Amino acid sequence: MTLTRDNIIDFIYDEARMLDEGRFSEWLDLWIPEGHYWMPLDYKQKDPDLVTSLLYEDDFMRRLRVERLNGERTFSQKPKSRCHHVIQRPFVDEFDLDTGHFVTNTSMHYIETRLDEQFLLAITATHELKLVDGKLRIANKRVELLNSDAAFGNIQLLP
Amino acid sequence: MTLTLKLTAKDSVIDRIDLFTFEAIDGASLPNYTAGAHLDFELGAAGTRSYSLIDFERRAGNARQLQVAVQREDKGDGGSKAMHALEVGDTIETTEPKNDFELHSSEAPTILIAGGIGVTPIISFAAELHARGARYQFHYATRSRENCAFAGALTARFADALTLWFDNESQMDLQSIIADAPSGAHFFCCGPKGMIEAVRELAEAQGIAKDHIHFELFASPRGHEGDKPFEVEIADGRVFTIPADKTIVEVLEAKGIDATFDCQRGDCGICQTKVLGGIPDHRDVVLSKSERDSGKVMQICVSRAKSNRLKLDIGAPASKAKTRAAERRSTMGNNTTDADAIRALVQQHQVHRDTYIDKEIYELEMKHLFSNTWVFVGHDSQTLTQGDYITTQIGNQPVIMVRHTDDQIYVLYNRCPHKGTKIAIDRSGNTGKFFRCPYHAWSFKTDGCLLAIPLKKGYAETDFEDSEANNGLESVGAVKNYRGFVFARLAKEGMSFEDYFGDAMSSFDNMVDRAPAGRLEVAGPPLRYMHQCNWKMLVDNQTDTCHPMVAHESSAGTAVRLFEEANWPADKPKPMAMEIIAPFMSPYEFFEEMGIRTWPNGHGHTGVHHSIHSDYSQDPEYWNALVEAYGEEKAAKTLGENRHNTVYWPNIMIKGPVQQLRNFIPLGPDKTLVESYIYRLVGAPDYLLQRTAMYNRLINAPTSMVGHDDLEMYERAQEGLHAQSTEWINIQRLHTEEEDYDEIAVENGTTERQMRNQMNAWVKFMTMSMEPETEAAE
Repeated sequence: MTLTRDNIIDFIYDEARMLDEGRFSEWLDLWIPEGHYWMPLDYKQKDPDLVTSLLYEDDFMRRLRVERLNGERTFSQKPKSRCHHVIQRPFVDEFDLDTGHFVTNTSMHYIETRLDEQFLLAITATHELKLVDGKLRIANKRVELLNSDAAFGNIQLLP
Repeated sequence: MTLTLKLTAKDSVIDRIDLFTFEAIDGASLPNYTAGAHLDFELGAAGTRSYSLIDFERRAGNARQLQVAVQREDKGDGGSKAMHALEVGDTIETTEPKNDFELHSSEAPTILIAGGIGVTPIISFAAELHARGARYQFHYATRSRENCAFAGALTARFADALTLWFDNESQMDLQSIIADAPSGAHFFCCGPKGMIEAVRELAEAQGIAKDHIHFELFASPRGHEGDKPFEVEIADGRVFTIPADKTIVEVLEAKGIDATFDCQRGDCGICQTKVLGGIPDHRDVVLSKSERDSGKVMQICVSRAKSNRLKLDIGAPASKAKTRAAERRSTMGNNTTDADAIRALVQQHQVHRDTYIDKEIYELEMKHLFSNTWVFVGHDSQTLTQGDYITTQIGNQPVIMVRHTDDQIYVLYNRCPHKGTKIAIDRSGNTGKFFRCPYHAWSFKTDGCLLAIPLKKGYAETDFEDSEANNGLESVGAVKNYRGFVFARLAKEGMSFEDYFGDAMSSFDNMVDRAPAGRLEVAGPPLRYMHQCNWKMLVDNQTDTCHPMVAHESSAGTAVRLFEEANWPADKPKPMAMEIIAPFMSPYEFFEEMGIRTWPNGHGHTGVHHSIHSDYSQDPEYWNALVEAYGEEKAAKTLGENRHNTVYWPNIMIKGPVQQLRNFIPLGPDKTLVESYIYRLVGAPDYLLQRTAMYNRLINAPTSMVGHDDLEMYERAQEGLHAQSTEWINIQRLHTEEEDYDEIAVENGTTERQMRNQMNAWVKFMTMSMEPETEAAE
């Protein structure tokens, strides 16, 4: 079977559903280990390393985050948060079957709730995907919040 | 009675798991046992280890062979390795078979749940139930097909009842197994702790009676080398054996005795139990020396016995000191501006809740406390060139910090003297040579002086020169730029900067001295994290050294565990994230020994002797740059000082070793904005800034796993304080009779003296401007 643009788009939808259904351990398996999950603090931030970001997480940190969410002594998750992604059809900005390299750009509304509180984040997500052993994997993901410089309360799950 | 057994066969089952077959030395018959029994093996230096007997053939009644399966734990403390080192023909001593995990004898159906090597007793149960012709299910989870020991033998014998689950294909669906179980079923689970906890929670959630849930923990042994089994007698006279690799709590739980416990690390104090006989071997960090020496109480989650038997008063709750009778009184009454009423809110050992929740008190804080104290405004690298400004606030007062044409930093009220319009609202910018109000174009020099008003002749005959508006943008009372850090005092008169901070500035000195060039530069915008709680909760938490190992167990504890499981090569540098997070799980002793220093006027710091930042890696390039700038002696002294958190009263904290500043900006009695800044050490290599940036996002971000749990605690406290229970917040830990907060003191790192010091300063700077003018002013 040859990969189509629809396969790429379906992958992005599937990932959002996975997060919304709290299947975080499965979500970890979508990643190639070298990948980074980046949420910049500054609008159009270029450098993840020498200025602060909201998130810049490698394999170890992603695993820690998911283990913590699954853990029994995670007090800020008693009760647990839930999240919801409403996504617009992703743009496939790069589609290279020869190298197995794909880039998408997706607008999303991300909603997170816990107890009586709920908040909305407007997001643009950039996914860099790679074909590994016939399966699509996340090589890097950048999540830009429209209001990344605003003061937030806890953002506990994974926009 | 001990048995001497000879190893007659050792068969590899799967990778790392061997099946050991033992017989009596002389071929005699062996003691009878029932399904679920185990043997305690004497393994020399590795101590005693318990392994469950496997009985496929149900020969328990007249055994000539005993079989156990052992998984080699390369990172364990040697028990399993000692077993694997045995060779056929070797002899070994064991106890007689003992059973702490008996199968039920009723007609009710049975659900067997096994995880990994925990399958061994479960196999014996399956054989027994199969022979009885009983109704049962056998669920067995392993990581993958390759990790599934005895798959073939089990399928051959128990095919009708058996379901194999593989984590990498389809995870065991405990929820459905338990929900769909026939009513009245008994559950038997053996496997890792997480699995047992999940079974217990799900079963309890389904309303399944506790005495229908049976389990045996296959925990990796946590005890010390050489731990021995001992006996525990409980109040009703029953006696239980505590094996070397199990705790009292674990055994009692397995036996259905209702023990109260929580941390299972010996630090929370919840499982404290009276000792009625025998000598405890204390392993906890809760008891004082005199309590230990008395031998009358112990923490049964970790502590063991020096005597062969302990008699415990289980069932009787631990005696807790009676809470001091709440000294309820309406402290505020009607006269909220009375300095005496303010003083009545703070006693040395406790603070009235109104200081955290009352709106009037908050307004008084804004008016008095944040006016009389020196408050952080910004860093001069945020306003590098003339005309650069930032907007911020001091208490609830909007201010502009700006660099004037004389290259000095000015701090001005952000209010047009004309109609009140804020002159600037972007967080930073450059205004050129003057500010211009966007409403009526009044303009002001960057030192605040009125420059021009359009159509000024309209004021010509109005004595405008005498008006306050003619004074331009008003400056705050006083400004001080200390090595780049700008502070301001709103009040025109008051304590000097030097008197206010004194020796406390040594933490800033240490932070700046870490830069080879002797100065810092702000690195990017701050994290901005909104807290629905009083600002003082954040300040208190900076020197609260008894919360990290509790509140941050979910992040730091999990990180430590993941790292241990990762088999990190010894020659590969630890991930930077681990260097940062792991020390949060340091035990109480670490925090006790780190020390706390308090200075007059509410300042203080943790980490006098060492801190969670002490063990960060350094590199030669940085060291050489520091030595070149300052000489070896001073460089060593600077890097040898690793203060943890320094609180500058009222509302900032800095971390010298990671070049951070956190500003707790009050927005209301129950609302605080936390801005967390990071700085570059000018002249130092980038990796230091990389660590600083990482620290900031891991610990201080709204997305931080560590920050989440702190905020959760503050917000719960902010709500809980409204309860019509005691009206006081306790700050009594290590309080001594006469504490003089005008003296510098260094004390045990878990003291709450710094919180007391802060509230002493709170009273001082709250009341300073209340009398004697108060009555006239109000």
